[in-house]
Amino acid sequence: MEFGGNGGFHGYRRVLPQNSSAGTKAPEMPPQMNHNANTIDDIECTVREQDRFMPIANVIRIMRKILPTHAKIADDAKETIQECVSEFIGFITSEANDRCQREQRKTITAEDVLWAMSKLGFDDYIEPLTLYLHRYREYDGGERGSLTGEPLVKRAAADPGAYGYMTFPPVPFPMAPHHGFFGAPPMNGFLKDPSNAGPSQAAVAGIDPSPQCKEQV
Amino acid sequence: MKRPGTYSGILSGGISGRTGPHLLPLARIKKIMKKSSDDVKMITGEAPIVFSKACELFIEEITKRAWNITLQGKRRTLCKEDVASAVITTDIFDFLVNLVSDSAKSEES
Repeated sequence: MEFGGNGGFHGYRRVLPQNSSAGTKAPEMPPQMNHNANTIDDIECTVREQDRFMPIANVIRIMRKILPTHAKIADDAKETIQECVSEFIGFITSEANDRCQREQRKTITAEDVLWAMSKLGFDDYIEPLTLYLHRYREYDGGERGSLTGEPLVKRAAADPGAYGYMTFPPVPFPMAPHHGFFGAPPMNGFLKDPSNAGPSQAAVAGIDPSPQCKEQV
Repeated sequence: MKRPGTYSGILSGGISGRTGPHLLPLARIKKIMKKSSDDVKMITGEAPIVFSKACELFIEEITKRAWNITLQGKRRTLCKEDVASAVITTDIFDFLVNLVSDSAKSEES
């Protein structure tokens, strides 16, 4: 493998094993300064660059949800959006962190993040994010309560428009087809929505709107 | 067939690169949050989860806008310049202006 600034903005060269935990140095310098680095610096920069961005495959997957099938995406476009995502996270986090400091709190919460997004103009995101967070909290609370998912079942039965992808014990409720709500088609047995039903999952899940469904796993 | 692991897998960032039900890895998000400034100390477990969804919305929005520019140019390949144009023409993406113009400069050098 060759190192050296040959024009690639990112280092996808796997110099070290996926040992992100080894990248403990805080990168003081911005990405633009890495271009003319020598070999050793370049290795370190490569590791840090992988830490600094979302995995490109995930980014591409999300992009493809939006684009028509015939659309092509240039590699540099993918990388640019990857960088933009990291910049977005940093931008929002800084604002959220400033608020925490003003209020003399040490921990950035989800509410701080939402507040920062609203302040910085991303109002359109607040509603879907609030809903997402709400669903997460509902099912997270249920999950922690029981491994069999018993509280989840009871809760889900009462909640038709549920956000099912977060739960692992298969629960019989229809999935709300919110745009972009979940990236991948659900793998669990959401049998009330026939388009999502998978026969193998059904066998495993034994989904049945009756009391015995709580004994999955 | 991927069988979902325990719920704690989500909070610790997924299993060996997989993200569980999230599209984006939580551990990576947390790292990026911490690097945003030196004095980011603690982050609740929920914050990366909110970001996971927010980044998805962000990518969708910037992709949509960039693709519109691609279509205006009667092309079918979304290129970096389309992304740059989308950034420049969208107020809330002002924080990205330097990033996309720096990218353009580095390509020329």
